[in-house]
Amino acid sequence: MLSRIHAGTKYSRIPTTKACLLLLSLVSTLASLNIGTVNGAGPSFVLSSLPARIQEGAAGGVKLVLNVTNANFVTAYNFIWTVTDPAGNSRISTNTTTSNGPSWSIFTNYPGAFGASTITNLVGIYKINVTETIHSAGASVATGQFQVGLTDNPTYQRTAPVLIRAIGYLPLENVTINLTQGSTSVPSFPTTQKADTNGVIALSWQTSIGTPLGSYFLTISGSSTTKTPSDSQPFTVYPTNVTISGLWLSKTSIQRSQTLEFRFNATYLNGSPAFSGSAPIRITEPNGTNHTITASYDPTLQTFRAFYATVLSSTTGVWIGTVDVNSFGDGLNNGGPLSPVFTNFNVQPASLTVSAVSYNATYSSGNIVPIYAKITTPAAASFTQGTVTATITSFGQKIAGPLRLVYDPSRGEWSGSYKVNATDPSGTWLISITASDGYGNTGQNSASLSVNTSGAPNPTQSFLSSWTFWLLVLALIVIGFGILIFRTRSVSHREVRLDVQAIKHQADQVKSDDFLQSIQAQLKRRTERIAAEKEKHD
Amino acid sequence: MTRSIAIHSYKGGTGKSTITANVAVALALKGRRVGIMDMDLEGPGLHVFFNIDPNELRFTLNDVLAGVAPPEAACVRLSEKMNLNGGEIYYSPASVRVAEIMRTLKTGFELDMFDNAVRRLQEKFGLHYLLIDTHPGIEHDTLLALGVCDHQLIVSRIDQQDIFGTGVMIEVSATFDKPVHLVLNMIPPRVKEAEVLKFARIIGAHFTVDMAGWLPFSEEVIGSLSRSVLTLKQPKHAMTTRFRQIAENIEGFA
Repeated sequence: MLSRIHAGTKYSRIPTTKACLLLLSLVSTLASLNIGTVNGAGPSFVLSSLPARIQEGAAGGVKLVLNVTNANFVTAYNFIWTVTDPAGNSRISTNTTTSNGPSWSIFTNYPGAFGASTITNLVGIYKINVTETIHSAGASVATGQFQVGLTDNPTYQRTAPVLIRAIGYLPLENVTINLTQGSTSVPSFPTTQKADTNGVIALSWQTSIGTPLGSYFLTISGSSTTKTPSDSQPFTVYPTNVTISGLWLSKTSIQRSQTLEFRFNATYLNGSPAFSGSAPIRITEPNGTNHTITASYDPTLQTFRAFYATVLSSTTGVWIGTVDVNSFGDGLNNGGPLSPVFTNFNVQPASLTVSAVSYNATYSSGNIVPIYAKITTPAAASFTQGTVTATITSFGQKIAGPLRLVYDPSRGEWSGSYKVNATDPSGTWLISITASDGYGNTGQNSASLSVNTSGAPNPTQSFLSSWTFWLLVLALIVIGFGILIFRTRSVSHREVRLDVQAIKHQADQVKSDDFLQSIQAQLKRRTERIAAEKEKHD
Repeated sequence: MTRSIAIHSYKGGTGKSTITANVAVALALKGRRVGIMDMDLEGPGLHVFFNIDPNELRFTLNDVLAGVAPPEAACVRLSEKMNLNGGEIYYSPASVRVAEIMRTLKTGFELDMFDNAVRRLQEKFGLHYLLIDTHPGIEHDTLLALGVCDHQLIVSRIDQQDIFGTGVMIEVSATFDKPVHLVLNMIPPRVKEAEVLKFARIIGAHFTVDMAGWLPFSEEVIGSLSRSVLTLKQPKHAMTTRFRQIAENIEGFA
């Protein structure tokens, strides 16, 4: 390859085999000298400081980390770390290491490794310069910086305490601390405090949910000590996040027309409850249609509450209630939640309550039998639109119907009537009233009345009034007594009726009740706690 | 590993405590270490079977649930008194003092307190079984207890009201995802075993429950006025055989 590149020049007539031998010889010589292969790109150095910001005199100082990549293998490196404080004073620390691979890290600590008298007593930027003396001839390989402040953080959310610390004052020196926003001192500031016997000043300022937002300026000055630069720094107060742990429902399953209550508690960063403001709750139907209600604070119940009333045409199925991200506001600019809070509930068709009018009088042929029914929704409101019919029967035999009833707003009832014919059977009549609407909500009930016409009684009724019937009843009673005498005290299980449907219906009511759900929530938390304990133990 | 079994019923007077006491003794006579908690805090009665006067005890289960006493301090070891021949019974009675019953009813108890009591007794005495006699019905504290136990043994008579409530109870209990077992008790003498089993099968076909046994109505059990444990007093009695059979079935609980 070499010969090809240089083909045609007067110095290039070296045979390929000879060129290979020369290269092999060179590699072999290098290997015998124990010099690592140098990558053409050379080593890379990245400097970082952990943490990037500390308070004055913070225990542990700052860990300075130099990450080296593409390094020479099995060779020594000598680093000189120079840190220049905000006053312009530089301090030096050196360390040497032997490369054990292409990538490695080397650490030092400021002020720990920079001499016993080195302290972080000045506010501002501390500049770091790292030089390497063996491979880079003392050239700078990396630079960086870290910051020293008076407060434990440069920014705060409301309700968090601002921890203030400064060092380098004389023991028991009077030190003035002032905190201002704009040109105005914050209440309780300026304040004077004695430094402790080590010359340390430590205090805290508690922010609240209503602490004015924005930039604050903190200055600390001693009666004797003068620092350059002086102890001063800004910090910022932001709104606090509000957490909503869950959305509580008055019921997990409702019938159309019923109203559902939502409740939630909101807490600030420090765990204290929010007691002002509001949040929209987005109600999503199974078909994706959204409705919005607003939850506001109820001071009596000490919780946020909102109500959603379904209607008779509401979609049935699983609905979702959501408090969206950052939708809550407490009126003081604090908001939340950071992630949406959901809950599900089920909407079922309404079971309409039909109250049919009771009849005291006996009707004869030619009489008009009024038919009235008060029909209400599960929300106890009047059912006014739909189809309501009445069917009149006597011992299973249909006499009339279905007769359409109409809603009478003046009575708040559905009404109709039937004129008794002479050919209608006498006896007990049953008026069955059925209510329904176009959405699948239904209800039914019945009332009985006595009718005496010239018409023949119903065959069944006729049989009931005949002497053969009563003779039969008498015979049955005699037989019954005979059996009872035989089987005294007998309470057979055959008399026990297992009404599965009624049992399950009753059980469903218990299951959907809040108190059972509260128990299940407690048990769930217990199960999770046991699982966590087990995991920890394992 | 301890199996905790809640013995429960929808209605009172179904024989829960009788079954608890007799099954506990039957298990102990097989050499098992059995704990009993009288969680019928509103109307405790198990102490009568074991001839214990809770007033003489320094602490009761009420104190444990109130966080006043550790669970083992309110526990009576009955093995020697009952001569159980190798087995052990550790009995935690509930208070019979009206003031304390009222206090417990007013304040209820924390799930953690009950859970800790159950776990502490299991660990402290190395129990094979912990039988928990509950207060009948669907009630907050009782349901908490049911939810904590590994198994639920529901006792029912076969009268209309009791069977209805038992069905509801089984359905509600099933929500705790714990196995539910049924004992039919006080079966009238004229009802044959085949009929009882057929009825049990009908229940089993509609509800998630399995049959742990059935007991006929017994004049002797009633006549003892709950003052003694039949399984101990009359080991050859037909009812003792039945109680032992239930104990055997409990040993087979998965």
